[in-house]
This record gives sequence, structure tokens and C-alpha cells, in this order.
Amino acid sequence: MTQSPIGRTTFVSANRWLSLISILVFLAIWEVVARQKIINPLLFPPPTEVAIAIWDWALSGDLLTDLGTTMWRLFVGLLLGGVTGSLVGLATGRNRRLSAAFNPIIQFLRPLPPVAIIPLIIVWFGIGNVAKIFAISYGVFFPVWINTHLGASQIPVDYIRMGKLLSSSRWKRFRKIILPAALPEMVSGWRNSIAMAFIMAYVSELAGASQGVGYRIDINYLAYRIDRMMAALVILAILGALSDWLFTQAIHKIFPWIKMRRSTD
Amino acid sequence: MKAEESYVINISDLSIRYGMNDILRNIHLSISEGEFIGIVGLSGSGKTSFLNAIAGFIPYTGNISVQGKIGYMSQNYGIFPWMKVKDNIGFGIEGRNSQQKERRISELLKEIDMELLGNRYPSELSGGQIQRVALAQTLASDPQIILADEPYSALDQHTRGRMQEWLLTILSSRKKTTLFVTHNIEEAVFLCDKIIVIKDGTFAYTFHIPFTSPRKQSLKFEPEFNLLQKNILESLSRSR
Repeated sequence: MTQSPIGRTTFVSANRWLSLISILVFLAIWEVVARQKIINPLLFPPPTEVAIAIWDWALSGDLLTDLGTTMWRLFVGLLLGGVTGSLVGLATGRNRRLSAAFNPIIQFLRPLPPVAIIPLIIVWFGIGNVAKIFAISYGVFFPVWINTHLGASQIPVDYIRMGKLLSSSRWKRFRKIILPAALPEMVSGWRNSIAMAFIMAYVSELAGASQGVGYRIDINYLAYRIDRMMAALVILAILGALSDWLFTQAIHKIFPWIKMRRSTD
Repeated sequence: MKAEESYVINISDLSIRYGMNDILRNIHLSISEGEFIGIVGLSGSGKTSFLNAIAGFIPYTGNISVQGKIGYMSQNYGIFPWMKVKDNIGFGIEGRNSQQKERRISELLKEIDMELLGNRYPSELSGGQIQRVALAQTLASDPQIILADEPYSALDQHTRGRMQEWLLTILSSRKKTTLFVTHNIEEAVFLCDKIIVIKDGTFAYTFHIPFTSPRKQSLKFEPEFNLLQKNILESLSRSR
């Protein structure tokens, strides 16, 4: 059954209201639980105090600096790890020999939790930005590689055959067939990697950082300022959700067919 | 030798094997320019494999000689979902500047009666429209030979009938040699000049279709049409 555009719009806006209401209810419950001292308020401050902590953080000027630092590291790490993962995934997905050569190494490294490698990264690269960006790139590489590899290796053979019949240029076939055919899986990998990039950015800022949202959580932990820790966590969560939303919107804007194909599947 | 040269496709001693199974054995076939040949057979009889061998998609033994460029229309994956209609049509146009390419795309869009739909994605089209784009994409590179693998099998009866008439109209103005694979006998009799029945890995029977072009849907109600259908259908179940 097809849905009329008007019906769909009403449905979408009703969903938005539902999301907003659920957030408000969640905050209200949190406020009541904290104010009624059901849980020790020192350990569990109400959202209003967390909001005040965010406001103070912003007024001090540190919020912008911390955000800028974390986002810069995250962006560069995401870009380096994501682009490398995409290229390696396309190569291993389309070339059996490369796949045979690379896969054992990658499969050996893949099960290692990316955060477990951070002490080694500090030994190799120190505690500067290079180490942090490397840690993020390392964490990002695997989800992007795996998804791109799957996407590139599972392109229906008919697309490849049609491409060969219609065009003699390998470069054209790569740009116009291989890349877009692998794109939906690749995009899923990039989406997963955004969450991984936030984890790695946070963990890498716990050691040897002087700026960043992770660093702010760490020093507030040492000062036992739970409200400020929660403030930083809230900011981190908002940034994560916002990044994912922006990424999805950008992908749907640039490649509208991905959304259309999913909605008709 | 001279007779051989007038054929667009010459096939001799063709065999196709998947693992230990012979799909087709010792196939011989010569096709002249402009012929419209139908290949019918039960599921798994090797119809698609035959087309794939001619297109060079799969390995085979024997000889296949093809004079001219091949275009391929398939039931699935014929057109690319990430390209707009006009880009799908233009993908195979090579060796022309962008202006000539645009002009060619416009001509084909007009011919398939989809001038206003060039900027749509395939997911925004109906099944019939998708198949029209697939034909335009195939014709865009100006092939001499068209291989069609059940292009209309996913369409409803009414749309399929319209598409068949339309295909004959489009192809009658060009001298394209066409090999059309279908499991629908009625479709084969309506479209083709000659029908080959694949059975037990060989070309078991050949039927010549006497109807002249242009053909209309009303032809399907003629006694001669129905008799031919019946004969072909019986040949599929007859033991050799």
C-alpha cells in the first residue's frame, strides 16, 4: 500500500513530537530522582545542575577550546582512517590476490579492542596530537574496511558485465560502477566508525592531554565534580548524535539514490 | 566461406559446462543481419548461459564469431540504480563530445517517450519505464546485435504486451540482430522470426514464424498463432 505525501508528513512530524516528549520525560524523571535524593545527589546531580555546569564551562571559554580540539582530532583521525579503510576495502574487495595477501593480517588485528592499543601508541608516538590522531584512525579503519570490503566484493556480477559491455575504460567503470555499487555498505562502515572515533578520541584524551572533552572529564573526575563530568558527557553525546545526523543528511543530499533504494527495498 | 561472411553471429561446436554438468552440447547456429531469434526452454535449460557465452561473460568450448558490437538487456541489474535515467542511457556512449552525447541522450529519451523523466532515478520509475530505459541504454552505444535475457518477465501481462509492440516498432526502424531469451512462448511467437527450443542441452527444435511485421496484440487471438504456441509448448515436453 502506498502512503500519501500528506499522510507521511503527518506521520514524520508526529514521530518528532514523540521523540521530543520522550526526552522531556527522561529529563523530568532524572530531575525528580536526583532532587528527591533517591540516589545520592553528589553522585547523581540533577539535569539542571548539569546544565549550569555546561553554562559555566561555556562562560570560562574552555568549552569552545575543548570542543575545537576534540573535533579537530576526531575529524582528521576519521578522515585518515576512513579514507585508508575505504581504499584498502575497495582493493581487497575487488582483487582476490590482494584480499589473500591483506586479509590474514587485518583479520589478526581486527579482534583487538582498539582502546587496548593506546598504551603502545603512547610508547610509539608520545602523547601529542599525532598519537591521538593515530589512535582514532586505527579505530576507524576496521569498520570502514570491513564494510567496504563486503560492499565491493558483493557487487552483482551483472553490473560488472554490463559495465564491461558498455565501456572500455577501467577508470570509468571504477568511478561509475564499482564505487557507487559499494557505496551503501561503505557508508554504513563510515557511520559505525563515527561512534568508534568518539570512543577513541575520548580514551586517547584521558592520557597526556591538556585540552579536549575527554581531558575535561578526566580532570573533573580527579576533582570529584560529577556535575562537570556529566556536563562533558552530555556534550560528547550531543556531538556524537549531531555528527551522525549531519553525516546521514550529507550522504542523502549527495547520494539521494541510497535513501530511495532503501525505501523501495 | 562467402556465405559465412554474411552472418552476423556464427556459432560452431559450442559447449558450456558448469563443473561436471554439460549445460549445452555441440551447438551450431548462424544468424543473419536483422534476424529476431527467440530462445525458449525450461528453467535451467541453458538459455541465459547461451547468451552469456555469446557476450563473452562465461567460458565455453567451440567457436563463437560475432561481427559487430553487442548490447545486452537483462531482467535484473540492466540499469544502474545510482545513475539518473539520462546518465544510465549516456553511460555507454563513448567517443563523442559532451554536446553530441547530450543530443543523443535527448533523442533516445524522446524515442522512449520519457523526455521529462531524464532526471529521475530508476527507483522512481515503473517496471515498464525501467525496461524502456534499459532498451535506450542498449541502443545508445549503437550495437549491431542485441541480446535480451527475459527483459519483460517481471512485468504484468498488460504492460508486457505494450512493451512487446513498442520493442518491435523501435527495432523495425533499425536493422538490429536480436537474440531474445524467454520462457514465455506467447511472447516468443509474437516477437520473433524464428524460435529455437533448447532441450536436454541441445537445440532440439526450430520453428519459423510466418507473421509479417508490424504485429499487433490482436495477432495473439489468431488460430495460427495459437497453433504455433501449442506446437512449441508440446515440443518442450516431447521426448526426442
